[in-house]
Amino acid sequence: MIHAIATLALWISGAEPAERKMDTWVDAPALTLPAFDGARAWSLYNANCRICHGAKGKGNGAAGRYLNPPPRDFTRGVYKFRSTQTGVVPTEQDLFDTLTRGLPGTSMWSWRSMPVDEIWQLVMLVKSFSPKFQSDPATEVLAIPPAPPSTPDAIVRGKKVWDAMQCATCHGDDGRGWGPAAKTSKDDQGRPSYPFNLTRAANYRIGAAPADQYRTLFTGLDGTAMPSYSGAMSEDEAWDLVHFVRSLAVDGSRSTP
Amino acid sequence: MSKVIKAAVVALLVFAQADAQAESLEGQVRYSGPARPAPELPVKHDGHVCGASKPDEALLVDKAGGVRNAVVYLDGVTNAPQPAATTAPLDQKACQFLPHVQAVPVGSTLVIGNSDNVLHNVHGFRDGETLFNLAMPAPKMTIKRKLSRPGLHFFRCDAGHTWMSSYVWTFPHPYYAVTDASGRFTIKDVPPGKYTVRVWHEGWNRKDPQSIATEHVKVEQQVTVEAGKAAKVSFELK
Repeated sequence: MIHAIATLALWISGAEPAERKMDTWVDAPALTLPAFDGARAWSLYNANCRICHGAKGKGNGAAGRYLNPPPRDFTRGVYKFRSTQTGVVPTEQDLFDTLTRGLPGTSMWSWRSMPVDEIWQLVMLVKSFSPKFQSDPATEVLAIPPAPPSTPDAIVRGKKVWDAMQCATCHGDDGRGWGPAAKTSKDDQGRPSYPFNLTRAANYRIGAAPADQYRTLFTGLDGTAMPSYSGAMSEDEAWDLVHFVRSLAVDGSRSTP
Repeated sequence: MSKVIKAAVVALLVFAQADAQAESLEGQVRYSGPARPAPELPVKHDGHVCGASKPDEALLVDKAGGVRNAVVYLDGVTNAPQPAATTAPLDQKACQFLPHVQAVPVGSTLVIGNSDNVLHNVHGFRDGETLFNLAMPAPKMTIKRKLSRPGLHFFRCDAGHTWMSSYVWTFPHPYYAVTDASGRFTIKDVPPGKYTVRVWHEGWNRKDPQSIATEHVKVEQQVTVEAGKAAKVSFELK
């Protein structure tokens, strides 16, 4: 309330608000899910997911050991692709989106051909593998404001944000993922965690739209070395950075899909 | 009298009694293994801020054998007064977490700072899983995080500073201490009784002194605290 009054006062006086608007988080939208049918969910899981993710969701299925990146261990309850704060489990919508979108550049393909009702059954089953979904459920998601247009000025400003945030430490000066910290970068399980090659934008796991990259800046990719920049940059700076990062792409995926 | 009131009266009596007769538990944690030179860890990134090398903080032993940064605590304590939550500062200075080891009441707020003009990212773990991973590219930035569960928290920096590590224990009772430079500790106001006293130490990498140990050292002893005299106990790490 006080903030609102202050903003109003600034607006009336014509002065610009001095404070940078940092990332904001809002209540996760409520979802109405179908009733969980354990037998059906397990039957779907065994038929489609078990070969990679394993009989008990530990990511150690028969094919899992041959995959790089390895399949998710659902029992750890740590997820890269979320709309939630770092350290918080994904929402049901996040899991649904991963299943329908798939993860480009990995062996996780899109399950868009599966009936929606069956995907929800799998979402609920995946949640049951980790107690974190019960003990610390996701309540907030990142608010993503409309993307401003990409302009030459935005890209120039974005380069300054790139330098200030020291993205090159891991991603390298050219964004190809070979910064000085890349060699020692490890995931939660001590496996090498290679910084993403930002020039290959078609391989963005969570999607190639500007909003997807904006989201990753503030959620981080939990379980990897990619941190959340929540509180470290403003919304405007994040958009500028997104436009700069997108300008690094060399694979024809620069335009907004 | 209702059960609740009875329980409250009993708790009050126990509390009052504990207060009246509580004793301190003192001791020392010593190292008696083979001599281990504390190596300097090479800095391969951000040397202009971090320096040419960093001291290995894994096993800090003084001349008399006292081990610093061991956490000593009573296990299986019931009916203990819940200590008030506090703040636990965790700074990053010259590419080193300060302090390296600390223990605070559960529910305390970790206040993380960055005194370096270089990117750090505070990657927190609890039970081996990411608790949070936050970038701190700017000095003067502060991050506050409540540690709402009891247990061991580990912090590292993924921004190329492989030597950076910090441990924060949270306890649901007041009976814990971190050993000082001479390996000594004092746990105050312990009600008389039999206890399992546990010692946790982060461990040291016996094969490769330049990487962080993944196996922590844990030892324990049974100790009886009697009314009217301070209890003493000492531990040996090998």
